[in-house]
Amino acid sequence: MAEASTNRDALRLEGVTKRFGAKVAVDGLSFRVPRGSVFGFIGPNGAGKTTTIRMALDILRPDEGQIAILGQPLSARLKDRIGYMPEERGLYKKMRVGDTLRYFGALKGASPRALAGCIPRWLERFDMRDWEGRRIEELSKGMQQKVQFVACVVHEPDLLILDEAFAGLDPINTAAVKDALLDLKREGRTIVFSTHVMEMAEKLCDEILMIDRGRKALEGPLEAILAQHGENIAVLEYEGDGSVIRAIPGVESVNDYGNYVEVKMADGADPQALLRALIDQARIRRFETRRSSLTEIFLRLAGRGGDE
Amino acid sequence: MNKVWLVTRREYLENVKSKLFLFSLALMPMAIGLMIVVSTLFIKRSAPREATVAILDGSGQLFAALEEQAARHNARPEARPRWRLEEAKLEGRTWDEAESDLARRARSREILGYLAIQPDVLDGKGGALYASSNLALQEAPESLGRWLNAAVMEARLRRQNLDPHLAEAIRRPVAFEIEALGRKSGEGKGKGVEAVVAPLFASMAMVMLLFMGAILVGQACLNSVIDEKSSRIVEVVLASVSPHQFMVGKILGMGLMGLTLLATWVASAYGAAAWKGYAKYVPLEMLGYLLVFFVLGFLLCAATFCAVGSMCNSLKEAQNLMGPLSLLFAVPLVLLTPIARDPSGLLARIMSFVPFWTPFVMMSRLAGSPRPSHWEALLSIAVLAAGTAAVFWVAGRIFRVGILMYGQPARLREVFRWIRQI
Repeated sequence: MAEASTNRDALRLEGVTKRFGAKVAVDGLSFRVPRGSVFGFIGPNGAGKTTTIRMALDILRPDEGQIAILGQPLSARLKDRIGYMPEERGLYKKMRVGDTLRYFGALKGASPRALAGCIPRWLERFDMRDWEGRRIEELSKGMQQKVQFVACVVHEPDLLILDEAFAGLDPINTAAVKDALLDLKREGRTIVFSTHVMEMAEKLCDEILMIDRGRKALEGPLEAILAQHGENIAVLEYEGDGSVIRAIPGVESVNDYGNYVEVKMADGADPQALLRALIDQARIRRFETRRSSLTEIFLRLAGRGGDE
Repeated sequence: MNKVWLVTRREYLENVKSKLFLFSLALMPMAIGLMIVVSTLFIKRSAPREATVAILDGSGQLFAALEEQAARHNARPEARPRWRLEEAKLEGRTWDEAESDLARRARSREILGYLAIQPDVLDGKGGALYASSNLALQEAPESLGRWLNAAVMEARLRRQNLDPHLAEAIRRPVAFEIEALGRKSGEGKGKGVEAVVAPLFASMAMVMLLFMGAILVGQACLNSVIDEKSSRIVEVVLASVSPHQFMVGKILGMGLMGLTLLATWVASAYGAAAWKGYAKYVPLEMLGYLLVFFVLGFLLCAATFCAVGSMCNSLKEAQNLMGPLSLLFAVPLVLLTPIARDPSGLLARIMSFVPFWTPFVMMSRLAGSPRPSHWEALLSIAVLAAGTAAVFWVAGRIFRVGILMYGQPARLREVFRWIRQI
């Protein structure tokens, strides 16, 4: 049974620690990424995300702990089944788009035949058919991002690790990449998705792991996290005297944004009571309730409070 | 292994297609061509077809002899310039008046210069003076001096009433030749200064090519590593290949590029030598050594530069480290003269067993004479190979860590820690 569950993991870390001199970048981190999931790996800058990813790719060696990829300990052959897009993008500026994709694909062990079939499909998908013969330096930044994305999927990896995949993409390309990711998920591939932009994680991920200062801060299915750590929030737009809101029972705090206010309710308090109490004192134009976003949970847990 | 080859192929193809490489490739043939054109043009142009020198012969007995010598010189087809000697007479003027008149004519370029021979020159007291406003044409004083001495000696002998045949026999110069000995008897390389100097020159040219090639390619390695590091390409590459494979692949690709460069240079230089009729002086067995020393020396150089490149974030940072490094490689160039003068001396022998210097020093020694024995050359190659392997090992360890380090340039102590850690 244990064997079977191990095999179901696309990536598993156990007690992994990495130090750089006196600094502990990753501190006893353990987690598992189930196969076929979209796994959000989130945390503030400097939390240890990139170091963890580099260890998963065998670019860095952990000082302690074990890492398994697709149920097996890391090896050169397994590396070929991973696709990786680093946060800091880099392509050979003088190389042509087609050559670049063929090169990175071949480095991952893809046969020229497979690449000849795959590359045109991906270029087509991102409207880049005409760009195959162009040099990378002639491409716009967004175009280069797309080439970089294609470069990490042309060898049809089972596990895809994307570090800030959407950084620098315009809304159209963001949507294109997002759709591509969802298609890859449907094909049964696992996607580890590292970001500090929570909105995207909230939209895409099944599971979340949040780390802070090298340690695990939060882990679990997205729905469960939102349910567990989410707070009761009412959003109000009204005319009249709002100062009374603070005095209403069940109200924990009020955040006035000028055009509207956000009222955080105490645990277990009913927002309906707020509406009932307020209805005689002010003219209410909008009233809605919502749970906290991942960003808010993240900020609270990361202890940075306030605004971003 | 397959991945190493992929890195090598990309590195080679992308570099060979670059404009800088094509330029470097064309540089040597262009330089040789230019040298040939310029030298032929200048030698022909700079020497005038004909030059006049006035002779003020105080002794009154030497002009005829000088004129005879000049005529003999002019009779040679390649003679350039042909000398026209004009006898200047005092004609009632004082010596000084006559000389200043000749000086005026020389200044106005009416004549190239003048030779004033004092009257008592045959008694061994007075001397002679050649004056010209164009002393760049050295043939004039050289030839005139030689001819004058011959003429004076002849006149003095004649004064002693010596039999002209006897005089001729006394004056006959000894035929003096130079021969470079080969390793075995019957392996002589021909006689004459050309046969001695030309192979030496060719070998020195090979040392220079070796040095230029190694440094050029080493520099290219450095640039490419820093470029890949600063543009963050390494991270994508290292997700696919190990740092070691990456470094080895890169160095091999660059090495092939270097070989292409060197082969083109050597071929064009040899072609030029063949065209000018010097091909027979190119010591072909040296080409084998050149290849071996280039390959090993280059690998050493490239590994060093890759390691240095991996420690730096920018070319500017690398430049600080390049100073001492270039110095290390340039030591043999500075000491080339003492090595060439005494190729089997202690200095040369010691230096040929220091891996960083072996290729250049050993090539120079092999070019000189006496040549070191083959076993000494082979031993130095073995030491060099071992040194190269060691440097590769150290460079690989530095590269593995350095290539992913950003921010502060690494301190030496840190680098030692990188080398030690597993």
